Amino acid sequence: MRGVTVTVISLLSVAMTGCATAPSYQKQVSDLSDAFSKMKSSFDALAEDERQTFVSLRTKKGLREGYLILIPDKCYQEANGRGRPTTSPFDCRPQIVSKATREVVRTIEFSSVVPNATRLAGIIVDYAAGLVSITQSKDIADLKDAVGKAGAAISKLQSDVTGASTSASFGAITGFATFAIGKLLDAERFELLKGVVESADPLVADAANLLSRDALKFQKSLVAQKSELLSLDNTQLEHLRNENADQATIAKAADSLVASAVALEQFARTDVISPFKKMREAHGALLGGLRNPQIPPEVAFRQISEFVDQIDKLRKGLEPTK
Amino acid sequence: MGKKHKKKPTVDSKDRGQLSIQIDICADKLSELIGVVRKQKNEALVRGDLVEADRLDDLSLDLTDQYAVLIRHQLQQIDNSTLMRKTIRGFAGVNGKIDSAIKEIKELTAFANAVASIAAILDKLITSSLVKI
Repeated sequence: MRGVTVTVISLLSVAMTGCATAPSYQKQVSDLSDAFSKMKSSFDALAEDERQTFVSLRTKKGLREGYLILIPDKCYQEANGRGRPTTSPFDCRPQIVSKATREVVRTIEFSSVVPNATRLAGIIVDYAAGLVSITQSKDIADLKDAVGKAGAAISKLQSDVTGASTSASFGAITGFATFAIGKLLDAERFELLKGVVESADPLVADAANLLSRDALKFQKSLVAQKSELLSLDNTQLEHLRNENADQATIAKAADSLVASAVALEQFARTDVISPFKKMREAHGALLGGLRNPQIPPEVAFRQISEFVDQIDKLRKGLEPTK
Repeated sequence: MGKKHKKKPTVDSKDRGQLSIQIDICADKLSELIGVVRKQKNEALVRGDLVEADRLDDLSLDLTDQYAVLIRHQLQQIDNSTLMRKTIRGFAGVNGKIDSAIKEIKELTAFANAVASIAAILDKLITSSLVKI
């Protein structure tokens, strides 16, 4: 009730005084949303890179002398005569088997080092898309819809970050504003944007911490495995030279080895912490601007731009290597 | 009268935390050990000893595989405190063995044997306490 009263009073004051239009923050929110999307695509690329590297490393083991890669006998589905599969266990996970002992030394079964990172990054993207929709809403119906979307994303964020499941609420759109247009719509939009960003800010800060920790874990896991692949390729190159393989094959293997090493060096040196620090600051600056309209929107814009720069550097640094 | 079962001592969260710490320490030490094994492998390559290089690659590959499991570590449900403490001691023991292997590299064969023994112990520990992936 109090929220509604405050909104009505603020709207009335805008309507009566006819003072300056509330800043839209459309550009800032749109840039923030783009940066979140890029961050999500970095996580998607890392996740795929991790899966491929994980499989490559285990495949190398299977290709070494004394080992086999076997597809298990249970890698088929029995039909029960009417074309329906039976409930017999289905298992196609490749096995690395020792030729000498016939022992299964490893089952190739991928599981990400940070299974929740891409999901969390996806929720942040949905939240930012909700913010963009709020700033672009053309009428109250649009605004209602956008606030609903942002609210749903914040609830998911809360559940992922804190484990608590509650529905986010930013106060209802006032009856007074149902047919709001022009400055009234701008004012309503501004108030709702502020409410949504205020609710999300602590969650975005926590999510940024979690994502930064996950990015570091991704990097650590990938560097360990990629450097092992490099080391094995290095030995392989010496085998080729020792066996007097043709020069073109040797040169190709050497080129690939050096190129992969250079790429890994860049990957390992990429700062995966700062972008998430900037993510917190950028969102905080947006909130600061919304809370204190006397702060010029350029302040938030500058912080968001720094976040965008950091995310671009992160993407460049984490480009999949071999 | 039903048969009386001896109650298993339950695991407290401190032990679980201790095990996680030992696993994290083990991952860090393992990473250091992998570096030493690769250094030895590189020296074998420089000598042109490809047989030794292959052997060290095998060891390093196993250790990297174990390292990947450790940093992903998901503890299995251990609901018996005796077993939990045994596992904690197991990891602490491996950590000590890694330290010794790194500090006392005298001769390559002895070093490779020590590393192979560490890998075998670690494999058993991983199988008994972690969800192996």
